Amino acid sequence: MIGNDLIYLPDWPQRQGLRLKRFRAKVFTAKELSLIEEAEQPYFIEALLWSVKEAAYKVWLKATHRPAYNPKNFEVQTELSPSGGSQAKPTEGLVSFEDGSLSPYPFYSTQENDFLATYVLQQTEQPFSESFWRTKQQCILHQARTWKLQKNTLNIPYAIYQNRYLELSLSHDGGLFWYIWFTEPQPLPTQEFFSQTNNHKN
Amino acid sequence: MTEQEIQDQLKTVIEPYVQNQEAFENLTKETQLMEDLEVNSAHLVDIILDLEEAFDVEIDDEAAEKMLTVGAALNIVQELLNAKD
Repeated sequence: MIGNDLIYLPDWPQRQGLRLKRFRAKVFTAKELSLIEEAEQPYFIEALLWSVKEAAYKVWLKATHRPAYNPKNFEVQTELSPSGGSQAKPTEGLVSFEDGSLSPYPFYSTQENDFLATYVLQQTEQPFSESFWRTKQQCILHQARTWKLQKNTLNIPYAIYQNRYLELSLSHDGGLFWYIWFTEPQPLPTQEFFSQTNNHKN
Repeated sequence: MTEQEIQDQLKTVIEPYVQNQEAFENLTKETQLMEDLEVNSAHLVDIILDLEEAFDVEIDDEAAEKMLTVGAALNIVQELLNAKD
């Protein structure tokens, strides 16, 4: 399984004072708070950790079919550079699940210009591909020509391509759309997964 | 506080974070915050913080986890207000 998340860093809120403290208390574990507090670029690390949690949630939802979101259920483990996270180098690490229902998964995060792109993989040996689209129109045109893109009632996206099931993940922010998908056909999910499928709203 | 008053206040809190205005204008209790109103997930936390301030309540992690629809948010706030009385 795969999950991704895209953050447009200029739009990442720089909360202040008591609100910042309350936000972080609701979102981050004690270990993550230490990472943020020790970083030279705390807002960047905050966005990075959030991005990993978002990508991990997508994997977790696919695995458990439980659409309840508590960011503190996902704990990010990584070693940051002395500067508190490099804007040039990718960051890697693991994300673990508080209830122990799943093993920790690796994550990979890179920054390009103003965008932070993160993905979490359950099956690291599976080849995958990705595409970025600058406009929603471009994105829709691509979908119509190649994929039959759908979401089930849990809002888990997937594609049917040449009568094959493709697992994918998508994220958009700052006007950019990012798709990432396994290039090899995946095993068909259970009938339950498909039973209440809706066409993708986009 | 009546249910209508809570709903009006809830709408005021949510509005700045809504990206789908059409869905917001047709709001029902079944409306999903992230999928229908296209509220960014990071802003979902802001909505929880704003609700805590607006209603002077504390929304714990367990309650926040369930706050996926307008109806769920209304119920959670109502229960917390009732517990204060």
